[in-house]
Amino acid sequence: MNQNIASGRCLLLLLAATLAFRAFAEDPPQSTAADWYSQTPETKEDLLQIQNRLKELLPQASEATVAIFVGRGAGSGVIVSADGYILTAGHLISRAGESIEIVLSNGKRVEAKTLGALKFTDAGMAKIDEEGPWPFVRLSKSNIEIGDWCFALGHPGGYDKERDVVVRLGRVIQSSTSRSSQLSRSRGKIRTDCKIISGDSGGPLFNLNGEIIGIHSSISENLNENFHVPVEAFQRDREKLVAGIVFPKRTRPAGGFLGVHTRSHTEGVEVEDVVEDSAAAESGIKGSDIITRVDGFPMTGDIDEFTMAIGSYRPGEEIKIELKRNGEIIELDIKLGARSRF
Amino acid sequence: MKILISIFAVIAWLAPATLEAQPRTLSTRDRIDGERTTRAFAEAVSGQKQSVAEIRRGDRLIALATIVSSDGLLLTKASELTGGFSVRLPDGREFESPLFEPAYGEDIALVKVPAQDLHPVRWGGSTNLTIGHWVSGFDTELNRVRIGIISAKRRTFKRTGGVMGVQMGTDGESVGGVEIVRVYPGSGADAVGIQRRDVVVSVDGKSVLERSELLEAVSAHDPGEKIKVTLRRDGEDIELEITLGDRLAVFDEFNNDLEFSGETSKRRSGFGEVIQHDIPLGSRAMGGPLFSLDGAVCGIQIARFDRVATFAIPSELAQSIIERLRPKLAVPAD
Repeated sequence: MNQNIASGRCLLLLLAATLAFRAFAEDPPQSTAADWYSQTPETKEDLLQIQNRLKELLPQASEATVAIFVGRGAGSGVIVSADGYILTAGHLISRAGESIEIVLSNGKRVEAKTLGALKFTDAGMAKIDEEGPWPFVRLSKSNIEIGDWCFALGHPGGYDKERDVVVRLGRVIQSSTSRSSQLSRSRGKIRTDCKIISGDSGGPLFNLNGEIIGIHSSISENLNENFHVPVEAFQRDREKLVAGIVFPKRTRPAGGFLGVHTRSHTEGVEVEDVVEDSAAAESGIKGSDIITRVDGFPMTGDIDEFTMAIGSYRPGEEIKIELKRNGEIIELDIKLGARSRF
Repeated sequence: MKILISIFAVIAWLAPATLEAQPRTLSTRDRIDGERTTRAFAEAVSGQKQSVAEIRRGDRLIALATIVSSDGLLLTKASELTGGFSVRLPDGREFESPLFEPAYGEDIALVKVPAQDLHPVRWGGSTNLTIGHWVSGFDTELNRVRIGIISAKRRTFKRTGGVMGVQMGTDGESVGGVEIVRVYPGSGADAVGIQRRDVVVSVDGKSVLERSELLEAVSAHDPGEKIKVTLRRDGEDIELEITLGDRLAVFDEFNNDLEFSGETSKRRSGFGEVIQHDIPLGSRAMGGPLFSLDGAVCGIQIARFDRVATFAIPSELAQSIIERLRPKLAVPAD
């Protein structure tokens, strides 16, 4: 019964999404990237060029940047369609359909609902309840290059009415398309020296075309090393995000253990062998089974993603595993065990 | 949907083969805080280096000072001066315990050293500088210019009084003062050994019997200032001097922001009007000048707030403080 209601809601959201993503996915006007967009300035004139461009882009970029209040936490977000779809960080969202408060840069407060959140990539979405039209900015479609100048907007430390949106300037230190970060979606973040802090989470990173290239996600102890979810992570998983899928359940490992050794497969993860007396063994999972879905979420074949997904459940929690055995789809409800400490 | 999934699978499957390539990153010299990037800016302000002095305590740098007159007047951050200091001029001359006059409201002090023929800064206006404008500041420890942009609206930054870092017991208990029920780690109260169950009897010689009286007496002072507290412990009175902390920094238990911010200023609020920028400057670079792109001084660095923000007071306000304080520093004629 509950599931029906849930999927009913998903359908509605998907319908709304089709309309919404016209704006989201529409081709932006051909952007021309000047050389100085990614060069180290050598003269005062070079510096002025960057400054003038930044100042030209700030009004529209700031107008689409919002503060988000989720439960006891606060973060940032950015509106990407006229009807109020918002990109934010996945770690701000714990479940879909939750009411949250949004503050626009003019101080106007509006209600919104959380949509999906993918904790591997830290991509999250929400939508403003009221129809709009809302001020929005476009997603970049061009590749991010190392050295590109960029600027971060957000509400560091939480919303401050007197202060409003804060801008930080920097450059792309490492782009998400770097080969090393392509291995796993969990590692594919943009690294910049735009200084961010908590409260900025979910805020937008822009290129000098005024297009979003990333969403603020995490920081390191070095204040010049900050991480942003690339917009491709949103584009790639937008159906899941709009449908309100929150997966995996938690961002941190919770100790759940299935008991399979796996390798990557084009259709999911393939079971190499099963740990004796484990939850997998008890539920009848066998070698050569291909695990295609965990709790309805399709597996890409990324072993780390699969391990993270299972580990995000608590021991004793029940999960649904869909697998393929000799071409046949099998669904199993499995109560997870605990990962051995030794 | 299915096509999408199989594309992921292929990417994930192919990826390990390319893993061996080293991740390409932007050279540190070319990053916003890198030497090559700051060079373009450094030319404009390099001449101003001779207008920046150091405030030292023993062999430790505690703040910078901006030279504002050729006959020895300097501006610096007032709350860093408690506990004695010396001024080291750019030419290496050092002056122990010089005269100074604080403006606690703005946390600025005007310092006077007996020296002539100094190079005062070149003042510029700040009102035409808005969000997005390049700015720079000196880091004498690294001996270089560091750059950033004005990052938020210019605004009034309200004062929040200092705190000892204790939680007070409820009123109405006849303990003859205000009982401490908790001491926050790392706070001024913690540093001088205040304990749970100590009873605060008086602050700066004035007795306090209720929470509100203690709160009022303490928060009348700014973070960084010292107060004298008389405590009753096991029937004995103990007198202690406590350096007050910043409310946000002391009670910020649920927020690990400061952990990721490096050293922040002890006093971080109540400067009147502030310009917020994102230059990565340490707390020991406060008191130094903030430059606009044309190399003029548009502000005085007043507080390292956190990882993303440093505050400066606008040049116009700084200059008005000089005029206000200068007469008080006038040495009477013999």
